[in-house]
Amino acid sequence: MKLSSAVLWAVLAAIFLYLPFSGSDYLIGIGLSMLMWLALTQSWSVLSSLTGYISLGHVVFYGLGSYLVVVTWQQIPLWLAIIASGILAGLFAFLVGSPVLRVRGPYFVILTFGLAELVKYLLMAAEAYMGISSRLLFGTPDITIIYGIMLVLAVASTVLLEGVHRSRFGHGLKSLRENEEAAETLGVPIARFKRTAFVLSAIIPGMVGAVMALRSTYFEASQAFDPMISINVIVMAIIGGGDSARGPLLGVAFLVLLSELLWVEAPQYYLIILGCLMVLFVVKLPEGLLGWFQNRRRRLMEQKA
Amino acid sequence: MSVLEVLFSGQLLFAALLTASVYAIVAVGLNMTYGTMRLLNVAHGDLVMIGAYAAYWLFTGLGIAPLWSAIVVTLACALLGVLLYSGLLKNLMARAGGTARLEANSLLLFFGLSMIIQNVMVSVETATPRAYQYLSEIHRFGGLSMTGNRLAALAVAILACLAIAAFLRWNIFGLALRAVIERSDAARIVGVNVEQVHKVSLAIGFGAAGLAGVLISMMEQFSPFIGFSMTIAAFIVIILGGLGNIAAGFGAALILGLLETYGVALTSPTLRSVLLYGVFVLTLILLPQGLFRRRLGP
Amino acid sequence: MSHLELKNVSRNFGGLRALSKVSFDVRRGEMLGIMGANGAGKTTLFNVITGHIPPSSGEITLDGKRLTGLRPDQVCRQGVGRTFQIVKPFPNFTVMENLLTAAMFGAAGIQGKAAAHEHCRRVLEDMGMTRQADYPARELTLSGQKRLELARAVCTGAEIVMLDEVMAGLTPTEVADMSNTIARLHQKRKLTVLIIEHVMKALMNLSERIVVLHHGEVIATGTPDEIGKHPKVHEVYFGESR
Repeated sequence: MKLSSAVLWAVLAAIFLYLPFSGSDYLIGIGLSMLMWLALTQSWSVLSSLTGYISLGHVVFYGLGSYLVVVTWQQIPLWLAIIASGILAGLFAFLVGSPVLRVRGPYFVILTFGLAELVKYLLMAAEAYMGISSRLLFGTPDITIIYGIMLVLAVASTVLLEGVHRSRFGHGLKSLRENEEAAETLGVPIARFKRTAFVLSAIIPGMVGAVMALRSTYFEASQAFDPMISINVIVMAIIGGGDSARGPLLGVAFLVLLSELLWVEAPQYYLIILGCLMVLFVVKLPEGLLGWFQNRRRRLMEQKA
Repeated sequence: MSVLEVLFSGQLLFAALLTASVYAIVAVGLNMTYGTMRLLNVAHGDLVMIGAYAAYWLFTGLGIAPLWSAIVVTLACALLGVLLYSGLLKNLMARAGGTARLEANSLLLFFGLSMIIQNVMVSVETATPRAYQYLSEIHRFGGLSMTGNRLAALAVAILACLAIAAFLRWNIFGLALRAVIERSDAARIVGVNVEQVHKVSLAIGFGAAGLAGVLISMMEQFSPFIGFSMTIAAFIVIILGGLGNIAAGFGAALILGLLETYGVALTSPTLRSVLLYGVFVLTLILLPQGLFRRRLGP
Repeated sequence: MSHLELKNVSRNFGGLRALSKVSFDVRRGEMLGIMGANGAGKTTLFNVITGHIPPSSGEITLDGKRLTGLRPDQVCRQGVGRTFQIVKPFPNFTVMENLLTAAMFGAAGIQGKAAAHEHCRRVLEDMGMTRQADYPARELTLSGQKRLELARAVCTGAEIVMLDEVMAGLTPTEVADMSNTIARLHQKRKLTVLIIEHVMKALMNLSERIVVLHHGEVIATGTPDEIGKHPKVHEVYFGESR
């Protein structure tokens, strides 16, 4: 790892480790938010940046994790519930992965969206059938613990994305992104790799959802499966671009701060800006800011040579 | 109602036909724009929403009856389509040659546009659903009771579908359209003005969507967010009916309308979304990719 | 034992018989040419061998092991490499990264990055492409991309390499270069080569034996000389009998 990257991560780790001791609930809240979005976006990248299969349904793993924790509340130890949430999300990805990943391009995008919505409405119907409109949690751990778990998850997602990005598996994923048919002809087991990436991308969001259920102390399907979560993740990822763990940092920081400013008072303005960012980055900067910098630097070097 | 009562209810049949015909109009437009340009415009449903609000403003503000303002709104939306093409889409399509990644990215583009449109409407009108009363007296035919606005809506919707179908059948544009949907580069070589086909497709498509919005605004309440489920329904219709196949699209709209109306009646309204997205997911997974023949060549 | 053997391989697409009871075998280390007019079934033949399309009937074996019904990535790992008629590079990868995929996932299955690099470097040297190792693939000329296709197939560590019109679209100089490269690789690495080619001169020069396909059927096999004089081939190509 380059020195500059190592320094970056060390500094970030130090900042986030410090925050709970700052005494400011507000700062802790923002820190928690950033860690959460970082974990979600980096895990999303494991599938979508590396394979090019852009998922608009990432929230489904988050929601499933939330639901599991709420449903098993005080029936099983908390640490077990959180891990089980990750496993549940991974299992779901494993089961739907094969049929879903056979669909390509824009169809995959809307399929993942539709799938997340389907799970959401199924759960809503099931809850309505059981006469439950929302579920409340009492006696949830305090925010320092929640923060700590989220920090661990964010570190895990960073390690995961960076690890996959540098591995042979990651090279195979990127190859199939470049040309799926050629990759298969060269020996890359594309179906298995896609599904593995899908499953890997699901586990951490499942646990993040579990933790956030503890934070909000209540569960309501339309919120836990809110498509806005998927959309935020995509925009955070495309702002930074690239397929390493650094990419999401820019997008996460920017959007968390932006939503701090706008979300409570005027959510529609936040959403309009989000929409504009999506349009801007797709049309003008499809490689993201990081990608744009890298290309510029490479072109300058080529000119010198 | 018992299952048999449900199945033989004229009331439900009427409702199903109405739903189907609205879906049909919305889907026809999407079929043409997607078929010719292979861009998944997920903001298509938002045009329906714009049409609804336009009719609402014209009615409550200027007292213009929706059946008249339908003409203006339809034309305005058609114009919007042409402008969108000249302004944005032409460049986007010229840029890269239709790789799966570009198409996925363009979907995000339209998604972004959709978010912008919806939330601009929220800032203008707030998120509270709106409605207005027009032709709401009830007419009775045999066992059926229907408000005037629903009868009018059904009539207009069916007329619009027939008009579009007739235009495509008898005007040479219909042939050009099918050629472009099949292989646009080949169509270009044999002299079809592909840009023209794109523009007309967008005009008809957006116009039809706007019209659907006007009709919906007459019958039910609407909010800035009605667009999306309309888009999903339209996609189901074109996937089921086949890309570029307008006639089959009408059939598919009918199936979807029936499925939705009777399905909800037999189960419950909360399951409407489950049904819609369930069919959506299944059709995307099960129907062979060959239904959308991949474009070869540059 | 032959290296690759096809027994009564047929492939239908609806009513169209793309391949009809095709049988032939390829000896280890042989350079076998595949000839035929457009639509004769040559690329379909390749696709059936590499697992991109399943045969409607018939068997394909590699060193006696069954190849029929395997997926393309499995076929590759058994030791079969191929190029595509329309090149399919990884456009945003460098030439080296393109080759690394082949080295890591092909029959060679090299796990370590350093070892894989070394393996690919040697292939680049054999192909005379060392200078281009760090070029993004999309910036190569057509000739460069065709050579990349070939290099990738060789890099998989395949013992049998299938070339589908690698010379299409090349200038006469580039054709000569490519011919020499193929001959050199064939000899140096002791490869078995199946080569589909329309550039007759190159095909005749390179091949030790030729199989001629017409409407999905094998109408002749033999040395280039024999094929040149074969009455059936003349009838099909020139519409006359000698």
